[in-house]
Amino acid sequence: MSGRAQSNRLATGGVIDRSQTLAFTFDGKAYCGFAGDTLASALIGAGVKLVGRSFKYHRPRGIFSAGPEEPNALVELRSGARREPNTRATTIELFDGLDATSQNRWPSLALDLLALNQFAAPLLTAGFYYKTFMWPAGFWERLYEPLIRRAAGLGRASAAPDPDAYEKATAFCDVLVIGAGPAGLAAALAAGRAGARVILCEEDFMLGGRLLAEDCTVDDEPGSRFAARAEAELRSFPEVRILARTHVFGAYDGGTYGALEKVGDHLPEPKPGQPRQRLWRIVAKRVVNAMGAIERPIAFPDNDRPGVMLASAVRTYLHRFAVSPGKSAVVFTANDDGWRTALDVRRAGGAATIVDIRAEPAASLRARAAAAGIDVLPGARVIRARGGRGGVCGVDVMDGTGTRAIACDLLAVSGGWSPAIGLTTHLGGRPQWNDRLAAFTPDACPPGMTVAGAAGGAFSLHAALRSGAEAGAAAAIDCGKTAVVPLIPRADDEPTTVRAFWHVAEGRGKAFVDLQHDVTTDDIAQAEREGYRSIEHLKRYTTLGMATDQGKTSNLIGHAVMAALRGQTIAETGTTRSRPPYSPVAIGALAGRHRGRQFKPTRHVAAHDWAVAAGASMVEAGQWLRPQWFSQAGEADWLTICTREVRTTRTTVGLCDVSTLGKIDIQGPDAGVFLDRVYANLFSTLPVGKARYGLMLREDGFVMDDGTTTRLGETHYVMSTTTANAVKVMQHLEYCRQVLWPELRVATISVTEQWSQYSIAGPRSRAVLQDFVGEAHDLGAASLPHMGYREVRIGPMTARLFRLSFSGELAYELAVPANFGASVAAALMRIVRDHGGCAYGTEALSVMRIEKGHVAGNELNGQTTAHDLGLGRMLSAKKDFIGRAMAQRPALTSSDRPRLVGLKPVRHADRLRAGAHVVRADAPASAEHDEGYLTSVAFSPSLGHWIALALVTRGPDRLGEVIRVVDPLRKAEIAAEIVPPVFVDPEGTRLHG
Amino acid sequence: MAEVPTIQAERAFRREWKPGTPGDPGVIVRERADLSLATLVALDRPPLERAILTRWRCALPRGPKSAHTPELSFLGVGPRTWLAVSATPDMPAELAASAGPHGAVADQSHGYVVIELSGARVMSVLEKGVPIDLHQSVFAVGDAASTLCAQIGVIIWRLDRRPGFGMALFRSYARSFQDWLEDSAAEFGLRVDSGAGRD
Repeated sequence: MSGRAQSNRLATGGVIDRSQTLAFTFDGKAYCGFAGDTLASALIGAGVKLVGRSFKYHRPRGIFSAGPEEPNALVELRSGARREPNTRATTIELFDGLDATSQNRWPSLALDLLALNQFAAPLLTAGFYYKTFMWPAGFWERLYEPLIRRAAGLGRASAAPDPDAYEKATAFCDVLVIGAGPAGLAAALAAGRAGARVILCEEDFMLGGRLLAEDCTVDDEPGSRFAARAEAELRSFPEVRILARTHVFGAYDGGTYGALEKVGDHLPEPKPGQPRQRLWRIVAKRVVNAMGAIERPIAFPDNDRPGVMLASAVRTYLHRFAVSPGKSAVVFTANDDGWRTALDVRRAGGAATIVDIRAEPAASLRARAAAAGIDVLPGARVIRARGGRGGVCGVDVMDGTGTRAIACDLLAVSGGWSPAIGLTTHLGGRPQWNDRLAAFTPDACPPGMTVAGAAGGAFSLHAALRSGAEAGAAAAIDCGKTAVVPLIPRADDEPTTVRAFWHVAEGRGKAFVDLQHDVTTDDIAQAEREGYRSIEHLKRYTTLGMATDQGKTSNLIGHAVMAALRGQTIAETGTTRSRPPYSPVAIGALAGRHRGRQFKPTRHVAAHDWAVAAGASMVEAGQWLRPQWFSQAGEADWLTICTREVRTTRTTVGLCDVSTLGKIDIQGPDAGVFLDRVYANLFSTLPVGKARYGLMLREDGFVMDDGTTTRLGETHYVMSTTTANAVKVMQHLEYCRQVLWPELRVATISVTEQWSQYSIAGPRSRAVLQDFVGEAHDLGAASLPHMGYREVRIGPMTARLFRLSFSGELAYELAVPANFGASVAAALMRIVRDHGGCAYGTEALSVMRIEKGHVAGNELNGQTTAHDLGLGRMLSAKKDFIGRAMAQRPALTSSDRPRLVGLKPVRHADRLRAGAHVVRADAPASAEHDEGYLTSVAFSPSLGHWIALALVTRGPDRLGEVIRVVDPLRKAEIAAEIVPPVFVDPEGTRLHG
Repeated sequence: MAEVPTIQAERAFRREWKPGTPGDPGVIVRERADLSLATLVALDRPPLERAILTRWRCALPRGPKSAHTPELSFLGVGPRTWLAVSATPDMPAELAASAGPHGAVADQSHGYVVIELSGARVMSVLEKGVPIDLHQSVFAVGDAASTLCAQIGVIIWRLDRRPGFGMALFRSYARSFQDWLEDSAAEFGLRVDSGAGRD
């Protein structure tokens, strides 16, 4: 252990483990501390006062608090990919090897050239970026914004990918207790003893809150011992879960709370298998909010110097961490509580002077101070903190008799305590002003939440223990448990008084309200002068309370100063409500494990590994991965591959995995009626063993989806849907079945995943299948004609064989139980290869359907009608069906609508591009002459040039017309001819071979 | 011509499970590739219930509940819809025969994968994926739920013969589910129980 490095460590005391010395560096300099330290306490122990520079003015700043409310001591923690900016030194648990760096300074913390900003201060006052950088407009992007970003940013984020994992979890409980100070511990004990399921969340790594930080006793034992015993008892309850290092950051509807558990932040890197942070969604029947209170400072000139510290933080450092923030303290206070700091500093061997704003502090306080040898200046105020980079060296104090200077190296400030009301306002609750406490206390809380301890204004230790126990027992009873309020332990119950005091108007120099955003009392006065008087305007104009600390120590002072300027009470002026997150939450934690490849789950077809081994490049189709093409040696680009796959399929045979198409089993005596209602065309007349192409409309008459449906038996059909619409169609059918026609005896069951399905297409497809199923099955055209269906038994499985074609070739689809899929794909492929064929992917599939003029997702885009797509004749006149009435609206059947046609370039070398617009040959290329656009394009290997499907105004009436295809985005224009949409085998003779 | 090709079944999961940190495994996963599965939808509920009771000695559960016999389990997965789970290979055909015209049956033996999760830390793993309360007091033997696990639709139920949970999910999600389970169980240790039988 290095004694020199821990010059301000007290010889005894503290809730730290002196047997474990931890080495760390700050700004490259080596220090050490003990297990149980925070970075802040270890720095104080090492005598470091200057830890950062302020946001706007780059003023030297030190450690201001001892908790999560810290506005000043923000550092970059770790280095490299794990570097994290704006981390509060007061919440960083010290670990061996910790490496932290100060931020917002250049080139070094001690010599910060940007501190010159102080002299540009007149430019940087409230609303400065609304004013200074307004003119000329052209300067904004080139000059002002880069300048502001360089100068005004806080820490630097690491640009490297985050090497750590984050995860999300959900927990349920009867009683959620937020905060493990005296009230929280008492609440958790009362609820836990009653057998309730309890979750106790504590942001700190130790339970106890102020029990660890004060020189206090509970039932005659030190507060920290009481906390340890309470924790041990809580851990003995199987239904109590303690989440330390976990802050609850938001209250949401339905008793849901967001919390962030820092699982591995206190370690050099997370343990193997563990995430760095875990985001909890906690669903609680009852909540005891025991989040405590936050001490607030007083605004006075130069109150931001290193060495100016909250009075309660001084006690925390003395008692919990056994480090001394100063040898000679001035305590500037507006309440009784500040006096305890002076007494504690004295007890630790330091000197102390009390400057109390109140003219007549209680006699009992004065007696105690006198006994301890503490000078007291009643009715006095600090009008300036003196000092420099090295910290505060003295104060100017003014009282009724005049002004005097007092030397000191620590200035402890206490303006009173503000209950931590943040979470109580998340669902719209408005806090209420309490004159006696000079603070806002919670009023209407989120449903199910009660507030206990200092968070509700119960400031004495005994009151906190009592209100916690009562709230915990009541919450357990609300959850149906039998609970009793236990005997409240003996503890300090002295009332404490406070005078509402916010701001020292005397003296010269900046008096800071919001330390993190450098907002001063002058800024608030300016906002008031310029009309930004509502607290909501004040906040936005001055950025008061908008820093990462959300104004935990500053909001109320700012609002009080504004109230005084407006001649109002604070209750009249009001205060802002807070929104989640109450404390910062990293985006990584919100994403959890769902990043990169795991952003959404991936669906794999059964033959995925086979396809990859066969050279497939996979493409995302929704959550599915599908083979896009299968490359062979020597093929340079996708177009070469795709063209080869189309040619091979059209001349010999091709194999394509179509397993991702939706498959819905429809059974029951009313299955035919059901299909007649959901499809635009007729299905009840379909013979068993036959398939039919079906068109499904939405209720509004537009096309929803298409596919084939096959009648497997008298009361049994199987429907296929597009891959993209599989879920939507299933939902639609369920809605129809359950809501529209519950009287129909029909069942709809998704069997997409039960079957792997392969398309075998091309002139040799029958021969391939014959080899696969064996000679026993007759696959001749008479036995299995186009749109025919047959069940076939092959080896261990019963397969479904459909004669369907999307490519326009003689083609089959073979459906097999999915566990056999990979094996079947491999076996089929061997036969396909024997016949000179190949596997093809979604690109070739798409090219062939464009060549055949079949519509797909690009045309079934939710804006097209059957009429638009040339499918108007499919709308049956013999029956009613979903969408029938609305599809007959004149606007939906008008021939003026953009309708489906084919396009081919006049010059065959020209390339068509999807998304390009159609304009009449003699019309200018402007929006008012737009006549439609190209929905799908492909290079047609069969024709040797590019072709397109397009939706063109009155398209089918304009066959043979040459139009302009204008592509302003890619700056291209070509001439193309309107042609029928079927480019290959328009008579369909190949299908019927 | 060519001989009829050899067709064999293959698992939906990747070849192996990653075990996580060494030591006493907190989570045990067992793949149930031996089960046959079928969706049953009631067309006429009362006669179907009678038919099922007669053939399978099991009352179809109402709501998100499960019913178990040594032969099979019914999991309530939707309005008048159940997933039947059984180690009897031809259960789907037998179920269809027993339901007759009163119910629709679709074989799903290849459509879902079923796994069983157990071990001292099974709850700690499940709460990282499943957003519902699985506490014994809320979700006991006889309960079932159709819910999500890490964005993947799952059917989950309490095992009736030993501590733990059964989960069924669509086959194509098996590998993503495996990714989630391996990652989430890594800190507790994951052991694969290859015992195929039902105990």
